[in-house]
Parts: sequence; structure tokens; C-alpha cells
Amino acid sequence: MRGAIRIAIASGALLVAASCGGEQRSGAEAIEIEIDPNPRRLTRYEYDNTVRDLLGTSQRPSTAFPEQPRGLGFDNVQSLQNSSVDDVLLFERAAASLAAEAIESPSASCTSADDRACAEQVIDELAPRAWRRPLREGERARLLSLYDALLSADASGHAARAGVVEAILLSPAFLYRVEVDPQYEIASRLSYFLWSSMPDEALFEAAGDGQLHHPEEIEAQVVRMLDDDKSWALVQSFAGQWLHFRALDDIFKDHSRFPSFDEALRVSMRAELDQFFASFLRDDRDLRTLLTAKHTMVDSSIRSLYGVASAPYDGMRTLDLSHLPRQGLLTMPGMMAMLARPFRTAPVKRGAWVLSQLMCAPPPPPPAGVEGLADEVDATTVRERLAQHRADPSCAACHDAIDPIGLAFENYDALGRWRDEVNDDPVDAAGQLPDGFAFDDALQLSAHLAESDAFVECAAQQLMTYALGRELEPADEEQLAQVVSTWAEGGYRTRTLLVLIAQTDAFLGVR
Amino acid sequence: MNPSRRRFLTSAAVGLGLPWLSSMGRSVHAQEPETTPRFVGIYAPNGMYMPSWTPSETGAAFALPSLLQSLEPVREDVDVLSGLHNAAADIDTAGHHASGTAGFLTGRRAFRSESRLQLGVSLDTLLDPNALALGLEDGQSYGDCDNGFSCAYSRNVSWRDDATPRPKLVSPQAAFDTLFAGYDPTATVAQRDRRRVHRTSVLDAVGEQTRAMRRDLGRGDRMILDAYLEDVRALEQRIARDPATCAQGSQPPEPVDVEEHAATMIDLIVTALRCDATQAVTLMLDNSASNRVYPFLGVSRGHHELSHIAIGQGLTGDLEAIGAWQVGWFSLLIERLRDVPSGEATLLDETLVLLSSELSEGNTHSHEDLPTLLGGGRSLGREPGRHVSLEGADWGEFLLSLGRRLGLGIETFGENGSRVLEEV
Repeated sequence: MRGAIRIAIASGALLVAASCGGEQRSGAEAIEIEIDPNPRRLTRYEYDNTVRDLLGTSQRPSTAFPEQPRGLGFDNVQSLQNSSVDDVLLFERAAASLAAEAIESPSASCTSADDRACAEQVIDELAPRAWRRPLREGERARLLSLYDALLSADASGHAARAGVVEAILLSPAFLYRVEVDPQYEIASRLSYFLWSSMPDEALFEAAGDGQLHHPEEIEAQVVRMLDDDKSWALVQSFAGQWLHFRALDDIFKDHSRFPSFDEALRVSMRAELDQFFASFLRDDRDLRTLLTAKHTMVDSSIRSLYGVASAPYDGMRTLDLSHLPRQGLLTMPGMMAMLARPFRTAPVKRGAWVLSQLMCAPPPPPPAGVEGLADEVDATTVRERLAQHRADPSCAACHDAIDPIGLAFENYDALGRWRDEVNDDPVDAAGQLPDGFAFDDALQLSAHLAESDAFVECAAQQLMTYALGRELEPADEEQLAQVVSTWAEGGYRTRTLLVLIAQTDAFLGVR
Repeated sequence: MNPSRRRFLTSAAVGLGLPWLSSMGRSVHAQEPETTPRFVGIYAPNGMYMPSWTPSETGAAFALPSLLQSLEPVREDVDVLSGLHNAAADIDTAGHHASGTAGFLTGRRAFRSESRLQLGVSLDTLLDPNALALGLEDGQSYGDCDNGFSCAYSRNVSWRDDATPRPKLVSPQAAFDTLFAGYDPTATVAQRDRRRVHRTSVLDAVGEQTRAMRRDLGRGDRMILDAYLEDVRALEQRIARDPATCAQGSQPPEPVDVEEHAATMIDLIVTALRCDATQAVTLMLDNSASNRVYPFLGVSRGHHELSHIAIGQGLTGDLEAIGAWQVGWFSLLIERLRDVPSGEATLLDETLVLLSSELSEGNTHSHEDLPTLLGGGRSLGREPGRHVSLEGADWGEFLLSLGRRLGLGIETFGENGSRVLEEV
């Protein structure tokens, strides 16, 4: 009973939005098709990593591949497969290029003078690793008969072997996460979860020994894999998408207002965010301190954004935030800059982001016809500009939750620098959440969020969604609740969460 | 307009751009023996320095302003059109680059969201469901690229349907392979035969593997593999057909700089049209609000930055240099298409070539008086070589008129296109 997603397809745009106050539905008739989101195709990032680990190549073929539709904010959650002839052609090109390189490489050199024995060697060494499982009945023979067919059509042994490698790389057993063998299935789930890549020898061996369903074995593997450099994939892919670090690539800033924002600064901002998240994985930190940590690693350009004077230096150094009005992820320049517009801050965007990504309570889209604040609004402070949100009850329903959060961060400009005033008006960062919690500033708010059940549950939910590669169903959610409860007892340490998720029945594919 | 040149589509298909059309062959239209209309849309971001763009006289004998100097050798084949206003893209909030780019070939207003796309089918798709989308700059189609508008709007001008941008190819080699089924045109006949045998054998084996695998799977997994199997078979058939009838030139190199990149793409467009690999091509010279620098033009500030500060800081020369460079590629394409004979006419005569931008004046984010060049189309009933003022007309009407000139049997296009502009 794998997770199934029921897709509603309408003849026009699909809009099923529940506004804070009621339901909005499109008028179109819905045709419902039950489509299992598995097997998933390797994402572009996963493809490149997989061929790197399989063949030792430095080619990055996925730059030519098209994007796939994405679900729930993660590219490895695919609600529909949209492959096409052109996609297969691009895979074929990549396979040909990789095969040509692989056949040439010294590690592929054959110990036998007999071409056919060489072909057998290629098949035996490459196919099970590429397909992430032992070969099944007939598969070896089929690959060998491809070799024979190519030879008999006048190809050289060399070209015929390359053809076999191409077929291996074009098989759905390579391109898709087709799960047929429970132990090897777990090995792949672990490796794509923690490394966005294929299993290594140790994982294959453990699968071969039939050990990979034991909780202790899972824990040992997870810890080992987190200590491997390849776990950087969790920073790049998981944090990059959950916390939107990747969105830093897309922003631009008005140059007259923010002349210091250039490509180098963008890279520096990203480096701080990446290093911060990586430290949670490496040092098994309490994940709640994501929002409250009082030190960070920065290069000298980011240090200046924090308002700390410093001579330029190479590399990154620790910055103690204890005496600064800063803590944790939210007040980092990269986050504040990403959650802003090219020419000003964006309180509604910031508030909506916190609700959506950290509380897993995304506000629904605005009602039709309300698509943003017109530039000309007769108001002086941004709080006044948003006054309509409070005045109109149909706006207030959602904006009472969104605006106070976003306005709390008004002291941090569109580059994340501290400011006491906006256009000569002092910033008033105080606010109150709908549940009654009142705060004086962003730091009190962050501390409150960090302590909330909603945050830790949301973090766990996001990670489990990423790990499973699909939407969570009721059975998954029960297991998630158990995970969070055990995680709490363990002090919310980051590695503990990863282990607990990997030990769930949902992750292990236990039906 | 000669009614015998019209192509007819049902009105339902127009609005939806149904993807299954592509499986019915290149075109659902009745094939007209005398002329195959083609379309090329070139998108140049960030607007133009309009004082150096708009000719002071209308008609045929107008003087070419400085930004249009490179049109001199092709001026008889090009119209300069002024005064067009893209009202659909002219939003009240911020995000004009994205909205202008989204409306470029759709004539529709983009739905402002980072994640939910809602726009409309683009003109190139209507002409050819297998239109080719090219670009000089990549980038994912997710996330917020312009004040709450999805990056999809900023990075694509070609849309398969209301919510799906056409995948844009930035690698000339990948684009070439996509057009010509991966064949190396410089190969000998014997080499091509060997490649065909090799590729079809490999794909055959992949098909067999896939069939074997699907036997062991449940219903849901089978659907995915069935789709893959179909695509593998379809590719095998394309390869077996081996479209070797057109001299395709050599496989393009991977470009080392933007000039080589642009030149290679222009070549590719000519080849694609000449070899009937597609009827419609779009080329984005960069993404919306591009901040590319052009050191080889002596320009070291970013393009988007310049579009805002040039007038105030006396840097209009730099802005003009970039605009002239962009027009140069349009001009080159016109010349190259003119050099390809087609019956008694030329390929250019059968093609409408459009150059425009998402904005006119970049600093004010204006969608009025969009800088527009339209070349070719004599065999489609056009008589170019004029500066025509279309003051008061909407961009949607312009796109509708292009569509009708291309033989599409459409009555409306986009949000505001319900009147045909006879001068187009």
C-alpha cells in the first residue's frame, strides 16, 4: 500500500483554495486519476551525483535535462511524471557521452584478451551497481545478447561494450527508483535521502546480508553516512529547498539602493546559511536553536552586514551574536535578503514564509482580484500601508497571522542590515500573534517560535516528506507523531531526527 | 488576407494548446503546398533606449536611428512598429519585468504567484505544437524572481499551455540533437548507418528490459514504465526514420562566450527552419531583468542596472551599445534567412521574424510604445520596409494579426486581441 496521490485534472487551471474564511473552488469539472508517485525519476541533482559515484565522472549531464514538475516544495516529490521523447533523447545523449568516457577509463580496462569476457566483466561490475540491486532472471543474458547483436552488426568490441553501458544507463532500473527488492530498496532510500545519490559498497553489503531492516543497523548506517562528505547533499538539497537557500540565486536588488549587492555577496550570504545548517548535521545540534543560535560563521563581507567593523579577511570566522540584536537563521542577511523585494523589505512575504516553511501552516492565496499592494498608497509607515489588512475582516482573517510576524523583522533591511528607522520613522517591531502571544521584537518572536510544538513538528514533517519523496498519509502521520515524541525526549538533536525517520515503517517500506 | 492560406483550428484547441496535438504529426492544419508559414520570436530584455530607437518619420523613407543602424542592409525587409501597448502586462503592482515577459507572446496577464502558474498559450505553440524554445541563459522555473512572480514568467516566453512553459534549451548541441534526432550531420552515410543500428539496438534492448521489469510491478508503477516505454519506442522510430534529407551543417560547438552563443543559436534557427524541423522558434537573448555585463562592448555595469540609471547618470551610451548589439542579431537572422531560397522566393519571405522586449523604457517599467521590429513575410502578404505607427493599438491585437498572417484561423488572441491590424 504505497502512498497514492489522487490528482484532480481540470480542463482549465486548477484552483482549490480554502481561504481563511471559506472555500474557493474553480467551476471546472474535475477528472480524478489515481497515480502512484512512485517510481520516481532521479532528479537532476540526483542524476549528476549518481553518475559521479557510479563512474567517477566529472560530467554534469543534467544541465541539459528539462526540469520536472515539483511537489510540496521538493524536487524529489513528483506528483506527475512528464517524460517525453525529447527527454529520452537527452538521456540517450548523456548515456552515450558517459559510456564513451567509461569505456576509455583505466578502471574499465579488461583483464581478459577475450572481448566477450570483457563485456561480461562490464555487465557484472556495472549493472548491479547502476541498477542498485542484483540482476534478475534474464537481465544479464539480455545485456549480453545486446553485445552480441552489436558485434554482429559490425561494431568493434569497444563500441559494443559502450552500447551495453548505454543500455544500462537508459534502463528504467537506473533512471527511476523502481523498488523490487526490499533490502536494496532500503539501501537506495537511505542513500538518496542522505546523499542524493546511489548506495555505496557498505550499503550494498548490508543489503546483501539482509540486515537493513534492523533499527540498530539503520542507526549505524545513518551516522556513518552523515559523517561522509556526501551528506552535504542534505544542505544543498534539503535545506536548499525547505529553507529556500536556493532562492538566493534568483533574487536581484536595486543597484542605487543597494550598490553592495553583487555576485560575491550573494555567494557569501549563501555560504553562511549553508555552513550554519551543516553544523546541525555535523555537531548533532538541538534543531530548535536553528532559530535562536547566538553564533555563526561568516566571511568579512557578511560581518559588515551584521554591523561589525572588521578588516577584510580570507575564509570564514565565527561571529558571536550575543551582543547583537540577532539570533538564529531568520535574522541572517541571506534570509532577510531573500525574503525581500529588489528595492524594499517585504513583511507579508516574510510572515507568510515563516508560517509556511517553519510552521507548516501556509496561508492560502489571496482572494481573486487582490494581487498585491499597489505602489502608490497614501501612507507613511509600512505598518500603515498594511492597515487595510486589519481594517477589512476578510483580509484580517489571514493577515492577523501573517503581518505581525513580518513586521517584527522590519529592523532588518532588504540586505539584512540593522536599521532603527524606515524613512525617518522609528521601527515598531512589537506585535501579537492570534494565539495571544505578545512580543517586543523579532528575537522574542524567534524564541517563541523555536519553543513551539508547531516548529518542531513542522521541521520533522518537512524532513519526512523529503525522505519519503511523497505527501504524508494518515499512517505516516501517526508514525511522525511517534518520531517527534521520541525526538523530544532526546533533546531535539538533529541526527536523532534523521535516525528516527529512517527507522519508521513508512521509510523502510513496511506495509 | 488570402483565405486559402488560412489554417483552421477548433476554438477549444486554441485556448488549451492540447499537447496531444503533437502526436498527430507536426501540424493539424491542412497542408498548403505553396507556403509554409514560419515564425521566429526574439526577446531582448530590459527595454531599449527609446530616444535612439523610434524613427522621426513614418512611411518607407525614414532615417534609421542609431540603435537601428545595423538594419541598413535589410531595411527593405523590416518594419519598425511603434506605439504598441501591452495592456495585459501593464500591472499596478511591482513585477513589470516578469509580467512583460509573460505577456510577450501570450498577450495575457500572469497570475502573481511564486508557485501557481496561470497564463496562456503562446503564439509559437499555436503555429507549431513542437515549437523550439532557445535561450542564452538558463535558470529554474521555480521560486520568486520578480516581486512575487514565479521565475517561470521571467525565464520563458514560450508556453505550451496555460500553466506549462516550454522547456528552454540553452545548449546549442542539445538543441541541435533535439531537432535532428541526435545524428551527426558531418558523418558519412556508412557512419550514419552504423549509428542508426547502434542506437536502435540499444533502445530495443532498453525496451525489452522495461517490458520485463513491468511484469513484476503493481499497477501504479506500471503506468510510469509504460510511459517511458512509449517514449523509448517513439525515439527509436525517429532514429530509424533518419531525416538525412537536409544538409544540416555541422554540429554546433559548445560556445565559450555570449557572442559565440548568440551566433550559434542564429545558425541553429536558420537550420531548423530550412530543414523543416519546426515551424516556430523563440530565442531569449537573456532572461527578464538580466543584469549581464558586456565587457566586449566596453560596458561593465549590469544591463538591468543600466536600464534604470543610464539617463540619470549619463550612461545612455552604454545602454545603447547593448541595444544595438541585440538588434544586430535580428539583422543577421534576417540576412541569413534571405539567403535561403524557397521556390522562387526566400525562406525569409515565408517567415515572420519578431524582435521586441518586455518593456520600452526600462527605468519607468513602461509597457507602452514597445520597441518592435517585424521582418519578412512577403509570401504571407506583407510589404515590409516601413516605419508604421500603431499608436492606440494593443499588443494582443498585434499578436492576433501575426497569427492571422501566419494562417491561423483565430478570431481572438490573449486578453485584448480581437481586432486585426491590417498594417501588420
